Formats: sequence, structure tokens, C-alpha cells
Amino acid sequence: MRKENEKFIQEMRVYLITKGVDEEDIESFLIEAEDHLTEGEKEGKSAADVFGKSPKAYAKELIASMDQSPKDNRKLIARLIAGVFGIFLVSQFIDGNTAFSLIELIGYPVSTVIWLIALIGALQLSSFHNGVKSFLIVYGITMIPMLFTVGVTILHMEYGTDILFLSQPVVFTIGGIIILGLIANFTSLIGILSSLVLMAILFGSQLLIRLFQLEGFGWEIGAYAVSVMGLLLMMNFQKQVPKPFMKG
Amino acid sequence: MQTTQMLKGIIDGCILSIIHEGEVYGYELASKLDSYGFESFSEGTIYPILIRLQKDQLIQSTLKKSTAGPKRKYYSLTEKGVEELAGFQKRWDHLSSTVNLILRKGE
Repeated sequence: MRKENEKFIQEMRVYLITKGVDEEDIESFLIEAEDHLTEGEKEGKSAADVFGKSPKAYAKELIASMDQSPKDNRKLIARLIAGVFGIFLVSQFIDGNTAFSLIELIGYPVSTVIWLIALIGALQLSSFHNGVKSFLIVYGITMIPMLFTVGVTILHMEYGTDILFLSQPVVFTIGGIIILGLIANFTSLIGILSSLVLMAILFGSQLLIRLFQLEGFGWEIGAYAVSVMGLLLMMNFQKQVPKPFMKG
Repeated sequence: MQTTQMLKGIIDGCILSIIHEGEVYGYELASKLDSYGFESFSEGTIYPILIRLQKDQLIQSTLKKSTAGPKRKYYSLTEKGVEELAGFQKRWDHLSSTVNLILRKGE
């Protein structure tokens, strides 16, 4: 399939998922859409020729005809909350934070929910825009939960007293389980290969800093920049991987 | 009024009728609509309609392996769909003769 058609399918999948459409309905439609685009390609038809110039308008028309099951919506939200909280907890562990204060125990779950709302909003708003624009939208919006999380951390450093202590083996066990869970969680969304790359991007640079015991704000910012670069690369890479890999 | 606006009420009946001729998959259905003369009709529009028709239990679908490799969804009419098509044909015959009568009364 041509690249822009591949992109259409991928973006449609993400958009429909964030709109809480039943996953079976999504798959069932995408099989047909892919088939249609492949057939259309032979006659020189583009995704815009088949599905109209506005994929978003088309997606809305599609959703209106589908059952939006609230049950699946809840499942998706639960999955996302677990995902975001998991990523957060693991990066805390890698950072060496294994003791938590009351401020953290309340603040971080709250920030998880804010992250979730921001992420769903960002994914919906950024669908069907070109690479740079969608990237700016996603990063612009995720700054809000990011600031909140930083705020919680600062509050904790100023006023927090640790009340929950986790030992090294407990941290490794919980961290390992979470990472496996995250991979499983993302695999159905973006495929196993992309999920593994995503994990490497999310935690790789932090892990390196920890391993080489690099200290200081510069390194932290550096690690963040590497993650962002990695995500950008991945978004580009994703458009090129053949379909079987993307689907996992 | 745009053609697409006018089509809204009758396209379901046309799709039911084409499916009644024999099992079709999405692309085939779009091509048939096109060959009957609905050229301006955007092909993708059939999918929301197919989903709705299936929800209303007028059509059913089965996945079959295609020659090209991936599975393909073929649509056929249900009993309820056949009844609906007969009803549509009656309503359409009445409507078209009435409209023709009005439009051509001066000729």
C-alpha cells in the first residue's frame, strides 16, 4: 500500500480508538478500508478520492453509524490510566525514587488523570494533521500535565516527608511487571515492534543516565530531548514499516 | 439541491438492490454504483451506510479469503432486507411516477 494510504489507515485507527469506538468495529472497518484503498490504488485513486478530502469529517460520519459502546470506552480509559501511571511509576523508579510522601501518593495519581485527559485530547486534535503540526499540538497540550507533575514534585521536595518505602527487590518486581504490562497494552494499539521501540525511547535515556550515574539538570534535560527526538523518529519510522510489523 | 442531498433517502434502497443481485464486497459495490451512473458519489460513503444497514439487520456479512490474500467482507441480504427492498421498490415506483407526473405535466 502507498505511504499516504498507510498513514490514513493508521490515523483513522488512532482517531476511532480515542473516540471510544468498539475495537471490533474498528478492525472490521479498517479491513474493508485497506482492501478498498489497495484496489483503488490500481486505478490510481488516492485516499482522498475514496474517503473524501476531510478524513475527520469522514470519521465522524462513520462514528455516527456505529455503536459507541460505553463499556469499551471504560475499558480504554482504564487501560490508558494504567498505561500512563505505569510509565510514570517506572520512570520514578529509574530515577531512584523508591520512597513516597503523602503529597506524591495523592498528587501523582491526580496528575495521571490530567495526563490522560490531555493525551486523549491531544490525540484527537492532532489526528489527520501533517507531522510537524500534529507534533506541536501533542507537545503543546502535554505541557499542561507535565507542569502539574513538576509542580507536585516541587511541592514534595519542599514539604513532603516520605511515608511509604519500597525495597530494591519490590521495586524490580513491580517495575518489571509494569513494563511487561505496558508492552502488552501498547501492542494492540501500535504493534509489538513499535511498543518495544516506545519502551526503549521512554526509559532508555533515563536508564543510561542512572547506569552511568550522571547527575545534574543538564543531563535530565538531555534525556528528555533524546526521548522527544526518539518519538519523532519513531513517528517517521512507523510510516515506513511494512504492515505485518505495524499490526504486530 | 445537490444530488447527494437527494440521494440520501434512496441510496439505501439502491445498495440493497445491488446486494440482492449477488454477494458483493465493498469495493465491488462502489464500482457497481459507479457503473450504474453514480459517478459523483464518493466511494467511502458506502461504509457508514453498510454499517447502518447491518445494524438494522437488513444485510449480513461473512469474511472470506480473497484471491489477493487478505480476508474480504462479503455482504448479502437478510430476509428482513429482502422485505425492505420490496417495500422500497413499491415506494420508489409510486414516488417516481408522482414526481414525473408533476414535472412533465406541461409537456
